[in-house]
Amino acid sequence: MSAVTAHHDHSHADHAHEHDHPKQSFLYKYIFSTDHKVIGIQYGLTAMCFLLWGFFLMMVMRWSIAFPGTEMPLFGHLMGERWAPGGVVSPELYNMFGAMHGTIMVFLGVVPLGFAAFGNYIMPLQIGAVDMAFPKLNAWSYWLYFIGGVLMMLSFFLPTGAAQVGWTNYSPLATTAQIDVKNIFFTGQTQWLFSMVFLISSSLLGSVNFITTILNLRCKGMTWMRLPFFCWAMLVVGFLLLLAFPPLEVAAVMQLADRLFGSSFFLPTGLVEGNKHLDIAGGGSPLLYQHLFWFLGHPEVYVLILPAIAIVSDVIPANIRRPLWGYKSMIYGVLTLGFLSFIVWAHHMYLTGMGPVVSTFFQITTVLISVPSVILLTCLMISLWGGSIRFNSAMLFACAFLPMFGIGGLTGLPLAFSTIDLYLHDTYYVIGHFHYVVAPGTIFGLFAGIYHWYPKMTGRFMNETLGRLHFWPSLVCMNLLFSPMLIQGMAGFHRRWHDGGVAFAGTSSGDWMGIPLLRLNEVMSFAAWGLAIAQVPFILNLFFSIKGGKKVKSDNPWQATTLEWATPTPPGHGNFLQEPVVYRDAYDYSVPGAETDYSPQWLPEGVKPEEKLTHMH
Amino acid sequence: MEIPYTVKPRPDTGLFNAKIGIWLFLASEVMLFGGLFSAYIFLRIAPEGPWPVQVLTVKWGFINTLVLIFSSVTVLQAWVALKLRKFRLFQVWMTLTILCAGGFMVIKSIEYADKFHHFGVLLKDGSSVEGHFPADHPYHIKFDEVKTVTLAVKPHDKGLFGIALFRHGSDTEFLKYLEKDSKPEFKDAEGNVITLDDKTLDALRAKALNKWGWDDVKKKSKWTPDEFITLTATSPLKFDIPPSKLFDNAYDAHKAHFRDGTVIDGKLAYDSMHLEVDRIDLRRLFAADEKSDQKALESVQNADVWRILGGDWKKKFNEHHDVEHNKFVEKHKSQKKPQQPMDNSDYVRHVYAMKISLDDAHGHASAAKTGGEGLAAEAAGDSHGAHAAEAHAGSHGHPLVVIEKKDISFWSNFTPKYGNYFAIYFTLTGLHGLHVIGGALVLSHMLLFGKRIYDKDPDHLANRVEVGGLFWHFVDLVWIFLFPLLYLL
Amino acid sequence: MAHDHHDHDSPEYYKKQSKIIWAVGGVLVLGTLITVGVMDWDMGSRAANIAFGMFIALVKASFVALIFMHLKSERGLIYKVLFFTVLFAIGLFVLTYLGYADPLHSKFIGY
Repeated sequence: MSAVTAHHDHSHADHAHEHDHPKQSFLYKYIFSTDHKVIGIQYGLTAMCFLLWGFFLMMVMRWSIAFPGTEMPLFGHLMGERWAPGGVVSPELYNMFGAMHGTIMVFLGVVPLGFAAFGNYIMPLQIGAVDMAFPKLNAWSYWLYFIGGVLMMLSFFLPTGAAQVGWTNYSPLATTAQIDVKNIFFTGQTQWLFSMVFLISSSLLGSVNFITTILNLRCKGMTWMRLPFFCWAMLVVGFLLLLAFPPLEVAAVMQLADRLFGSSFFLPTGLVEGNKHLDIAGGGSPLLYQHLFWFLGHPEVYVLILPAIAIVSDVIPANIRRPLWGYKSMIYGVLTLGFLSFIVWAHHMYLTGMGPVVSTFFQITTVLISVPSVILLTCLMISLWGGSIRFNSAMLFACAFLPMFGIGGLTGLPLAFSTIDLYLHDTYYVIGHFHYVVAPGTIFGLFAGIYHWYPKMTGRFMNETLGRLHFWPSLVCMNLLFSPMLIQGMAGFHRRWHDGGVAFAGTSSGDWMGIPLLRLNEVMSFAAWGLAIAQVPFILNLFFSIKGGKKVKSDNPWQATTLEWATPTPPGHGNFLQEPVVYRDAYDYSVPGAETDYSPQWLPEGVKPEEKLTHMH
Repeated sequence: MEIPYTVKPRPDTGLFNAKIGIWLFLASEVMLFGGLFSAYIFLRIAPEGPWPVQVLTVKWGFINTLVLIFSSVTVLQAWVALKLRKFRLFQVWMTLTILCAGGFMVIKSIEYADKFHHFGVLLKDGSSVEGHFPADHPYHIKFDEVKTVTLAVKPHDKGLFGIALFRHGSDTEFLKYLEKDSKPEFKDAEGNVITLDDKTLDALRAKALNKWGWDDVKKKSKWTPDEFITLTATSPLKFDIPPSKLFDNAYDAHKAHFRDGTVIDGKLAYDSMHLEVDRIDLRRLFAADEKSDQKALESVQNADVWRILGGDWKKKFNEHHDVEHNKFVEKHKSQKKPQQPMDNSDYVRHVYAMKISLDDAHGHASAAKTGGEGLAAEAAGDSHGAHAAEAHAGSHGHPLVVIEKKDISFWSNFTPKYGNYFAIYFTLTGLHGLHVIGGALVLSHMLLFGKRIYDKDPDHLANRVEVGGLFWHFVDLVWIFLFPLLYLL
Repeated sequence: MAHDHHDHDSPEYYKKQSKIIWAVGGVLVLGTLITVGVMDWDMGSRAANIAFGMFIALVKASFVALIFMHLKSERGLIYKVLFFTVLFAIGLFVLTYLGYADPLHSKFIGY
């Protein structure tokens, strides 16, 4: 093992921007880079673009829900007459945006941002590695994701439009939709599957890389019980992606075969469409698709949420100056969570007519999995007790994450029971529940991470005032947006109505749907648009702080303990100036007897942080 | 600033990076093929029709098994050669490995090609016939007296923001199926006479799009986007069309609907399928759990296949049944509690899914042992003893029959469309084949560009070959299960 | 791991490996011949044939995994990863199958 060190390449003064390939062209330094930090930032920026686009789709949908049949201002005519005749959002457009909103947010937005972007940037730094174990694979992983994303975007411009049958792409609808064309390959539904194959391959390469790096590249002294919780979570997420995605790939390949080669894996005998028996052999099983899909689909939920919990559990200790409460139970919790997440998937399928034995099994595992989730959340909340809290923007988002994720989690409990779920299935209650988990939950966690690590990435702080202008309106709007969904859902509003229920309300069977419930649609829509405005300060902050933010005075501006703060700011290629050695636990804040209220992992007993932290700008 | 543990293992895990990486990758591959095998078993356990068993040519699967085993040995010998620092020997073994991969894929493509030319036809009553189309008589349908052609313009088939990456709607491909004596000369709505080709079609489209405004469409109907151009042929046209070019078999006595949206109006003049039958399957005519052989036999006496094949074949079938039945009883009578014939799926398959040929040189399930004279005169010509399962399109030895469209409920070649067995067969072996190609590419890279690494550190290349080998063995491992599952059982 | 790596450095070790590899290759060919040879044997039922065929396949697969892929002398880490992988793969199959085998039965509905 020749050299983990980087110091021979660096003089002390110019470490930040120079590294051992000074002649590297811009193209290879920033575009086809194999440096985990550059790839992390590439992932982050791409994913944020996708998040914005996914958000935009939802805002168009919210117009259709709140004001069905009326011309949408500003954007209506932009969609093209085919999709929004006279500027009115058509049901087809609503379906397309609905399917793509889910797809983009989950597969192109949140997962790449939480796992790939933060994981790529932070994890190797936290374990004291020079890079990921397979840097080229890492670059491949990003570019496969990029290609998958571009294909998904291009599908909007196909004559058929993009996929339109929901983000879950259930067969047989997904198989028979958009087949009345000359070339089935160039349809939104097919391209959804095709680009999914790219995204799955990308996440496969990524997860192999992450796990190998954590297993084999931890620096000297970084034992398992000194590993920051962030890295533990990344390890678990890596395994979830590694083992849960392949069955979805199987489902995608089989659905592709059904669409392109006329097989009937997921098509039952006697399927009729448009008054005509389809020309298929039949004998397939639509339920098989659902099983394969949700075998990924449920672990995917934890792929969405764990990076956020991981980020929050790094942000909180640094800003309360106390160790993470229950570090070990959190680790065992996250491992249990990872394990259980593989055997709960069919709670998405209670309505398919599974028998009592299987339903009971999945109810039990589903209720069980709430235990480790509660352990994680409780540990984070108890950590706050007695801390001296520093409320910067990162901490605000981290603190808001706790109750928001709590609401999301608790509203999920009723859904775990099949009898209740039969009623709530496919209502807005489900939408409200999982959006509480992933929107004010996960996305707030990710915002916390951006504010927290921005100084390490750029050498400057993000603006605190803009941060608050971002946080408070976001918090208010998120709740105005998602809590009415719970109410509407309990009343029975179905999740896929493009008109928000207006057509149904006029019928005798829709009598129960009172005007106040319908008017909630408008409340939620205005909250959604308000939420969009609340992101403007963030976007400005993100870009203007690169040059205009307050400069950091040291490499460890938050006076945190984990290894990423031992690197120069921003870290160069190779990360560390000397081979890092870890001497203590990950969250040694306010250690009794220590002179400072933080004892970084890289400092031996008795050395004050200031003595060794001199990489000033 | 090098990444550690690329060659030497890390002391506490005992593994170098790539070793962990490949095993993680293989773990995900286990889930991938695990998912596929699960799907296979799931579909296999309760199929709605008889599941095809032993329909593949064992010879090819057997040879491919040996090829893969041999390549597994050679890739390991290449690794050993590197460990012994014999680079030339490494090159030899590695070349052999890659040649094996090539051989495997060649055999695979022969097998695939075979399936593409073999057809199955499910008749309305559930009985089915299988065979090849005669080389000189592929399945085409003919339309006469076609006077009207409707072209789909699909003007608003555009993507979001009015952007369209591809044009939808009619093109001129359907003109390829005009019979030679027909000329594509049409009158448009204004009475102008045009010869339809790419250029005139584009002009027609442009004209249609010009006169067409969004306001009209909005008034007419909001969500239906199709717009059509109707042309009248100056003289009646004749078409000769492979049905696969039509959308979802959508044609009736007067209309045919092409995949691009073009519709022709005329008279369906000819719609008969010629098939050289090599097998009939009657198992759909009785319940899967039918216990009585006698009842099963009765239920197949009026099957549609006899109408198509003729009464002589029914006689042969009944003889064949009696022979097999007696054989079965004879064989099992020594047992304490003799097995009932219908409980034995091999018996049911041998009897009720009967191979058919005109010559004598046939295996156990052939009914043709009793006589070789032509039931269908055309086919009797040169029966040169080709094995039924390997007969290619155009080879003879099988009775030629004519099947009317009205008798067919579903037909396809032996591709994924034909049913779940072929679907899973092609998906599994296709994905496996992609793995073989991928593995061969990686190993070729090591063979061609390994010298540089070898000169720097022989163990680094040895590690790479070991890791590549691990993948290669996994590919072999999958095949070890695929071979009996798909070919034999 | 220490004693393993001493062995791994000597040419004799690899020469012996080469012979073992050929021997295992022979075993695999033999297994294939058996599989093909007995497929038409009447073992009483098709299920018996399938079970036997899969058993032979399993034996062959074990040889490949244990010897060709060196799993018999691999590190604990790999075993752990594979253990959970196989567990989840079995879970996928068994639970999917149970979902099919245990449908809501019509006899529970009615008065």
